[in-house]
Amino acid sequence: MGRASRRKRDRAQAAAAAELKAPGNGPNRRRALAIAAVVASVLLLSFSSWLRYSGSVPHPNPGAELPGRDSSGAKRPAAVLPDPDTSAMTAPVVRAIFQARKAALARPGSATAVGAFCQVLHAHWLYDEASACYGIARELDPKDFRWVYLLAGVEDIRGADSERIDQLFIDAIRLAPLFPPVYVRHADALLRLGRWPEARNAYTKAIELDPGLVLAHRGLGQAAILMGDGPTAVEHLQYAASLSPDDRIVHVALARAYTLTNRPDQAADAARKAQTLESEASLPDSIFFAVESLAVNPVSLQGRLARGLREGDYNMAAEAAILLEESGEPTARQQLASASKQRARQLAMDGDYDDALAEFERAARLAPGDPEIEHNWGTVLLRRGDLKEAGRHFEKAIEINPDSADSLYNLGVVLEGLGRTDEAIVRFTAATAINPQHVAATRLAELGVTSDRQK
Amino acid sequence: MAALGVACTDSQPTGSSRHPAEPAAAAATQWFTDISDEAGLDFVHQASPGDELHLPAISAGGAAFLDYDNDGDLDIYLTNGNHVLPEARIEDGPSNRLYRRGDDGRYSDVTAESGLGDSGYGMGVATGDFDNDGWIDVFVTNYGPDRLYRNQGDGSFADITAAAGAGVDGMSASAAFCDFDHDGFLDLYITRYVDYRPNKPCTGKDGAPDFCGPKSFRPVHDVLLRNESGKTFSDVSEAAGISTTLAAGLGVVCLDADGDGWQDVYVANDAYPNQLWINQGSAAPGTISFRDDSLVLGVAYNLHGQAQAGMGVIADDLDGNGTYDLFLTHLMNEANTFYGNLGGAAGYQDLSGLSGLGPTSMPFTGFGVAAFDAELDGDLDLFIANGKVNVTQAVPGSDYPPPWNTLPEPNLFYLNDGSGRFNRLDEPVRTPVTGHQISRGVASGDIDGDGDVDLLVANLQDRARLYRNDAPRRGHWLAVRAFDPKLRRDALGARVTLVMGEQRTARTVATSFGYLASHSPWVHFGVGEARSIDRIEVRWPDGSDEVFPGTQADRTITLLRGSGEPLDG
Repeated sequence: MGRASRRKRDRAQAAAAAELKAPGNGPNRRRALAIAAVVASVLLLSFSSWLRYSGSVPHPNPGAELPGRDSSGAKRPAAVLPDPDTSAMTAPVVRAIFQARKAALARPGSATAVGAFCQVLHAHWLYDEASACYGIARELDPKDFRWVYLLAGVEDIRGADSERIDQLFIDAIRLAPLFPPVYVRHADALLRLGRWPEARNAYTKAIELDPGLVLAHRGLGQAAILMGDGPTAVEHLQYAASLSPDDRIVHVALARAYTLTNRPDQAADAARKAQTLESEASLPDSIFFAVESLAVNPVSLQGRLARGLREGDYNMAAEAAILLEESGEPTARQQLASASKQRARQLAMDGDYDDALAEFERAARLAPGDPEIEHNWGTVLLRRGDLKEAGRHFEKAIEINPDSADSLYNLGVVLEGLGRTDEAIVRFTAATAINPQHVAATRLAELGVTSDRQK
Repeated sequence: MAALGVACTDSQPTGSSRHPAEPAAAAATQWFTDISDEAGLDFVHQASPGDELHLPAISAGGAAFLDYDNDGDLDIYLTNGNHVLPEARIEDGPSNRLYRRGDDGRYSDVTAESGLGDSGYGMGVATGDFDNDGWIDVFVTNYGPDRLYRNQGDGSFADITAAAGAGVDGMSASAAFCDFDHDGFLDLYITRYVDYRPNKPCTGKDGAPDFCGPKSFRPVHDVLLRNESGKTFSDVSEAAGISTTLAAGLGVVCLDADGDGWQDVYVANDAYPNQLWINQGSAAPGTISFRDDSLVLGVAYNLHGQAQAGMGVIADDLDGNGTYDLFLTHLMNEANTFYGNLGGAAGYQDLSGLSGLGPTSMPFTGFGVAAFDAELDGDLDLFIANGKVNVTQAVPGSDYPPPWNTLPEPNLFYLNDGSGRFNRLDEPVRTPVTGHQISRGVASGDIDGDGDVDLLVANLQDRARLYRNDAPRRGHWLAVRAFDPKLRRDALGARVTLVMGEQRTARTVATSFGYLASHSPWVHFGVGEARSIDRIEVRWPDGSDEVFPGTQADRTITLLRGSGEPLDG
């Protein structure tokens, strides 16, 4: 066999043997490229933040009073900004509250700054404080719909006086009469309060504004059930089901509506269907979404991490994982590392070696001492022809896991490529000792190494 | 009360009002008096010696009224904690306690001689005479192996768990003795919570370390033990069809939901849909079979279609229309839920808002619950034991150590206006001594024989409290014991109906309802202005009917099955 053909065969063999480990699917490449840069900056930024905030947090002016001035400049009695006890909270939550409060205090009279602080409180279920805070924001800018709307939502969940809840929603509707979600939330509150006809009217109004609003049809169906109006309930719930076929709650309500209209078979079908479903339609409400997005407690972060990994939104996942680690969740880094590893492998399999190498570097930083990362990293370098660097990673992989026949073999390929055939034979021999069926045995035979010499 | 169920017009239903609603400000009179000290009830619950945040530690706190020595009065049994981790359990540490009521009304601790000092991590208690020997037995649910104690009739109990085949492990919660197969022997339904893993850390929404919720662990199925002629129990969970439903059960109550004469079961689940197990009747002798109809009957989810954090549950006629309604206690920001019975196949309706029970409970986390006619005006009022489960800000003035100082809440008492609308009477049981506590199980029964129902409240990390009912009386009463002499025990599941002119008032003989609790088997009726009862109808647990002649009010009577005559006392 000629030298050229042997080299060609060697390269093919090496490529075949240097299989990338652990199957998995990564996100698409373009997205990955965009995300990678962001993740890197997030890592740096967040870990430096962690250093800054992992100790005791300086308190931004405890018990400080807001200047008694509203957006028009009119004087009013000073209001005390809520100051929750954060001593037991995780660092990201403390930081979020601290920064938002500081910003609110730094901008006297700014309803936006105060409101932003209120939203952070709201996002972390500090409802009593959020309620007081929204009250202040609302006073500062009574025309800003957000503050009264969010206050209504908080008061509803706090179980405030029914008249107060009702009035707050009415005030919110006055400010944003064309915003369908406000009618749905008002209707939901009225339904809970037992004011069914009013709830029905509010759902109807929401449907007038947005005929495709699932939750409005669903709510109207539920109100109709409570009012004994089976046909109306069935009509709206069936429509809601057509808009959102996998919404569990719609089918729960349909089971009831069919029961009330003496259709037991359909009721049983709807009940069975409901039991197979897990998803629930949500209200497309940008105002409340904005609040939810501010939550940095471990529960929310876990959700964001899982969602990021599930949907391939690596930036979201990375940010959540870093904050989770800061919150004392040790598995977050592992989850992220695992995702990073899989993504790097996918990039390598797609032939995107530059990005794969960058991703392996990141994965190794998240999970130092992972032999799989070192092996695959070395494999990509090997494919790129960077034998020296590849050898370093295979050596590292073998150091961590001396029983990896693949890593030994790949190191052998590297050494052979560098012209250090004797050293290569040692690695091939070691690989064969671990797994006699390994491709390393074939390579040894090709090199004319007999079993005696192996010994 | 039909108006409460279904209204087809835009006008709000009004409901009949036999008794004008008591304004909430009427709390000036203390309706309940804490008599724990004078009664000698010195029990102190110890949830956990450390400050670790274990789920069993915030879920525990069982309480029972029972007459274990058959002397005619109500004794007390309370479950206790210990260290949650079995390997860290304290030898000779806290244990469950039995208190005997003496003739002077004082309670003495008879745990040692009774053998009821179970030192497992106590959750709840169910009572019933499972072997029909005339002596009430005790089933204790634990985080860890549950225990069945047989009353030996001499003041002592024997742990017969293994011999009776009643061993259930894991994390059990409420349990109920009911005869599901009409064989005359009490079967046992045991709710089981979750597959708890003590080493799992959790945090709250504010990011602070917190007690885990049920969704942090794998759900489990409940257990149904069929009583084999009073000697042993068989686990028939699978055959009965309940073992494939995985959830987080906390509360249980037996009721005949469909009126077919067979006991059904309603289970309150935490964060999972509830189940209404409809008894399919005994297809073959000795078999029990259930089908879950909760969804089509409207009691799986609340009116928004959401599964709630079900804790305690009762089945009683809260709106006075002669049917079983259901009421469940829930987590704060969720509201308690009142499912009004529409009658027949129509199922139930979430009437929480209309009844006044929902929105007013939003700020509280409810556990134990008891329905009784506090002021004897003829309707059922509600007492709800509250206490948070999530670590939040410390309650001002609370002298509990952390994290317990963040959990106390006031208990609630609601007055029924007679139509199923309830008004909250603020802080009826608060005294300078007790303040707000972390309450869990509530047991109800007439401890002093004065015709009204008193309460026993189990509190985490604190003393249990005995509350004497001192409500201003607005009527007369009748206390009834329905007893089956052939079975030598109370006829659990019997439906007792008083007929007074046009008015009919029905109550069920039951000891197991609420949360981790067992209650007096006596049925207490407030009868308002009626001084006599025309007749008493009883539907016995096997579905047979018997009518007893009328009697004067303001007395206690025993209805012996088959006797046809009410007996005094």
